[in-house]
Amino acid sequence: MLRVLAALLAAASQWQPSTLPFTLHTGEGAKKHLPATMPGGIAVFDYDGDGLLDLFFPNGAGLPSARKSSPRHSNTLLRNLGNFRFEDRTAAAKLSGTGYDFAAIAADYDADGHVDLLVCGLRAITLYRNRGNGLFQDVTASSGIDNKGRWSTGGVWLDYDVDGDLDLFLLNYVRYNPGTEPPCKVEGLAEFCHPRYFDPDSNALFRNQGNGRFEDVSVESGIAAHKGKGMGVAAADFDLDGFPDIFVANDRVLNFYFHNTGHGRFEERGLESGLAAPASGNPPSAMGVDAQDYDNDGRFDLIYTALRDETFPLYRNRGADFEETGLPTKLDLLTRPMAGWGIVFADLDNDGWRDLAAARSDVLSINGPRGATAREPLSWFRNEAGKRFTAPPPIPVPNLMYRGLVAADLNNDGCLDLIATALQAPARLLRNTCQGNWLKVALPLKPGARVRAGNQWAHDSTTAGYASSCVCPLHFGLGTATTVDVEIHEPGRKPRLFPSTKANQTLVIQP
Amino acid sequence: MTIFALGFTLLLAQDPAALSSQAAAAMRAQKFPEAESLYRKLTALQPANPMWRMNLGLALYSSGQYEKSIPEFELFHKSKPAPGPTHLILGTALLKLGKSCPAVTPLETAARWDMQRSTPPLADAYFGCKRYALAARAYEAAGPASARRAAHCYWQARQYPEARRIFETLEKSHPNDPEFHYEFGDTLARTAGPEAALPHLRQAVEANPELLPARGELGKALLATGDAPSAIPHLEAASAAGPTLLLPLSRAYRAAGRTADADRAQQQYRRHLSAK
Repeated sequence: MLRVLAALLAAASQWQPSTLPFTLHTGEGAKKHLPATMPGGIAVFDYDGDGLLDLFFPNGAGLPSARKSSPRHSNTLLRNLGNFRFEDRTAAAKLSGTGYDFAAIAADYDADGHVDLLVCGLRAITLYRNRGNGLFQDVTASSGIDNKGRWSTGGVWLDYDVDGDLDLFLLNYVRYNPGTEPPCKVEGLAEFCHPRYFDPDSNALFRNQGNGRFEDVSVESGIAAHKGKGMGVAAADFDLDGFPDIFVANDRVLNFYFHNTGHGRFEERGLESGLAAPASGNPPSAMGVDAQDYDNDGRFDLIYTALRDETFPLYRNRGADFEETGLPTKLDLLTRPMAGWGIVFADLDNDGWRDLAAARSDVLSINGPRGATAREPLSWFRNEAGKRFTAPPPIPVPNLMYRGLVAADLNNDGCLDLIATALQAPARLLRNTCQGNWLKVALPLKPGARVRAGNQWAHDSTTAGYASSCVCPLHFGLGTATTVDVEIHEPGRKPRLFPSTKANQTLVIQP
Repeated sequence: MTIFALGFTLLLAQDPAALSSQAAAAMRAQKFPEAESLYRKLTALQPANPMWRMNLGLALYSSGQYEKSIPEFELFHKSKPAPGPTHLILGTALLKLGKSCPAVTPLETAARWDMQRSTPPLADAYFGCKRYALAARAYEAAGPASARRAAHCYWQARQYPEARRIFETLEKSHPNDPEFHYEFGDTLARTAGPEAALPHLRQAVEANPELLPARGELGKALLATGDAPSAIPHLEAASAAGPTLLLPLSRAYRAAGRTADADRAQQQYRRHLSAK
């Protein structure tokens, strides 16, 4: 009976595609500068506090200058007017930017109730403080956050020292100098270079001093000791010891698992945890990452995207370490022919199990010798009770060079919509008209909490997939359940219980 | 023989002046040095006539002077770029010289003139140029005799469903071919999972225990199916040539309770990856 109901619910799930008034310009020219294949993050957050999630898109710039020399390079803030209508508020908010930007990570770092924005770029990061009046203020210099000219592909806000305010982990890619970038070719034509042509770089950690300023603790925390080629990051309390840990997906070198010791330090335990590389031993082109609980066992699992023949490796958290579950869940077979960037765990059919959605495409240039096969579609994979993943009917979008992907409920109907960017193309919006009951839990603007709704667990994170973030209520599909017990676990606090919470509402949790 | 026949066809088509008659006769008699000499005279007398270039190229090609024939065909094609048999001959000359990538363009042009005759050398050119996806399609189009090569190229191109489709048709004709079973097994591991791959990987290793990539794949498949003890000797052997296999070897040791060996292999793996 339940299976029939689930099938009926799933069959009813469908997507209504449209485009958004933002086009991602990469600055790709005849010479294939590596940054041109890398942009495409998205930030989803309610910047004006009107209850509707707004969208921010970082944009590229000219290359090799890395300057926004044309209005079309502008970063873009789209205010959600409701009913899937959006208004460009970039200029009014002063968010157009100046450099080549990749990622946007939103969070209320100063705990003033307004969601702020970190934009990660090729030569610099920019921290924008939301003043709460529709304006953002560039406070990078006064914040003390200095990425020292490194190429940042993302970051995550987390309270690593559990002192009550949000610290910042900055993800860095490779050491890049367009002047020394080699001219790479495939089949005689210019193509983006393999990452092996670039030296790895270290990531950075900044501790929030609580007064609007940050202290660089990269060295003393142990983060700076490890150089990688970071393309994705996720923070969660993976071992449930009360301190958030950090996973970094590296491009063709071993991934990092920074275990938080609880004493202001991290120890890198990628190999010991089983996350450094898949079972083959070949470090893949790891890209976007997401961490949530896909099998409803209360521990946060991991997935990251990679290129064709590398699969999208899925890891089940066993507490002490992680187990690759791509084979038993069939996800390996489904994703082996795919190349992906953004990826998110999201219950897209509200059946109580987090599905997966992926923004796909190759890393190669669409103008190169293999450009014809570089474009791919968006895909989603249905989670069948945490045991396996299946491929539902495809999402009706054209094959493009998709990059960022976020799942968020843009019209507050309880269904998670998808927002995706694609190189040299308008951003895509997929309205989800799913069935099934749901619950959203709006937490205080302080990531790190874990929430249980029935047998499902979710953790509040600022990152989503590739170069993206979502400061959004936690979403739970409830299937046919009309009530659910909710439990909120916040660092340093006793769990809060909300028994028999009614479905189909947003439960607002006060600080 | 095909090239000779093409050459004679072309010779018959040209202006029968005295020298050219002698040259054509020399070609028919397979007196290629004499023909070469006559066509050199003709190119000197009438440098603007591209046909002498073409015939000189044919004479050079026919006497095995592939390197020298190439510029003559290229000059001819500047005047007569339309797809034709000389593109096939030029491409074949380049292939004979091991210049697979330069051979691609003339052979692609030739294929627009005669797909059937041009496809086999074009497939070879793609293969030599490591353009495996194109080579696979060309070999497949060339017919059943090239099916094994087509499957190999699909496998190289990581187009596993296509490779599997062809491997399945060839299974009975390659009972003891270790490379075949290795490639088929590897393909099945990626399209159907390790259980499906095991019989072929075992056959590959039984037929040739020195085929280390097959032993590596067999070790990984055994480990993935829960048989760590059986995986260990294969992963030990293969990791000598493929150090990334130290990671699955370490996991196999750990699963078999050999913790010290697991730690050692993991350290070696870390050192190897760090060195990269």
